[in-house]
Amino acid sequence: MFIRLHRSLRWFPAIALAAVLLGCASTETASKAPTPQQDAREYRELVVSGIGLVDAALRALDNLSAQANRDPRPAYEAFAQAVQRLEVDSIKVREHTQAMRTRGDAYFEHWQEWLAGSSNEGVRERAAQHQEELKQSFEAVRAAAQQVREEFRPFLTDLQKLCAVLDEAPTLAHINSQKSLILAADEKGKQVQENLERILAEMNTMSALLRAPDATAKH
Amino acid sequence: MHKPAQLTVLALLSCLITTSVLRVRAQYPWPYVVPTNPMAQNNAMNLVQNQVRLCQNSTRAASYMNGYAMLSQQFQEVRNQYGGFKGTLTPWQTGYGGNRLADLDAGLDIIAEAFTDYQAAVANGQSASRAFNNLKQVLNQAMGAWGQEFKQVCYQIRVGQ
Repeated sequence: MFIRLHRSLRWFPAIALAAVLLGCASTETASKAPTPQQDAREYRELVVSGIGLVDAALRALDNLSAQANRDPRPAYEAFAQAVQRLEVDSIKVREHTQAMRTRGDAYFEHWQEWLAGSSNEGVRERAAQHQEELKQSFEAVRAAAQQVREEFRPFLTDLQKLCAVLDEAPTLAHINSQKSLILAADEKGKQVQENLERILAEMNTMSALLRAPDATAKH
Repeated sequence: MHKPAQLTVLALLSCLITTSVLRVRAQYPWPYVVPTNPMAQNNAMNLVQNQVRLCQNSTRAASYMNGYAMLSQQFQEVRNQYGGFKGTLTPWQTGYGGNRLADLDAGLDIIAEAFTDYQAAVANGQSASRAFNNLKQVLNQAMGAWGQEFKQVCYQIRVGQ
């Protein structure tokens, strides 16, 4: 029995060492915070999805006007659904734009700190080398984000108002009577889209500045 | 007892009383300082997550007749619990997760707009039941997404570790 116990204990130091190493590994995983590049990539994806959502809402709005002389109910239902999707799915992109405004310079400084502390030497070097351009791009992102924040809410309010007004009877006469609201919503939506596209362009500039030269060539 | 001896005893006693009072104040600073230890953080995090679930559940249960006040209260409670949670974070966590926490703050502000949207919809002629149905759907989905994001941020800033 003692021999068996001794044999099994023979593996104990190895198992203990493995457990310690695994423990270290899990702590490392837990500290996995998003890098500024991941953060920027996520924001970029949100902006792209935001453009898609606004586009879908505008198309549904166009369709509502186009279907007004036939049976507008299905077009109205699709429009109401697109407005709800826009309201919910755009929360994240609106969150980011609002947080950028609230935190102001601190938002960018946070990115800069992360970049400066990056484990990737190349990224650190490029961030230092292009500090001024990055700052300029960030300022442009912030300005466009501010515009999006200011324009998005009135745009959504117009769409929701249309939904509410047409809910009872989405008839041709009713839709025609809301022509000015439809046009205003369309105009505001295009403005939001334009500013989201400006953000996207600046985000692309920023990631190009941080990308390794050979990776840039590949892209 | 001689007067100098009495004075010494008095001085010693007063010293003991003041130091014990100070020590008590240092140990129990509540309600002015919220504890930032891992257990307090975990508890606060769980409270937020439970409240998010409660808020989502009430979107399924509420009817437009009496549901608005209930939803509004449940949502306000999420905000309160989240405020309490933020109070348990260390300076490192609030600094490191500054942008992400600002996103979460903004998220709650944006979700709150759904309540004013509901009132505007009813004022614009939409039926109360349809407008309320919309509010419930928006709130349910938005709280679900916010809850996920909250969980992710907690992991990133090492809450409770």
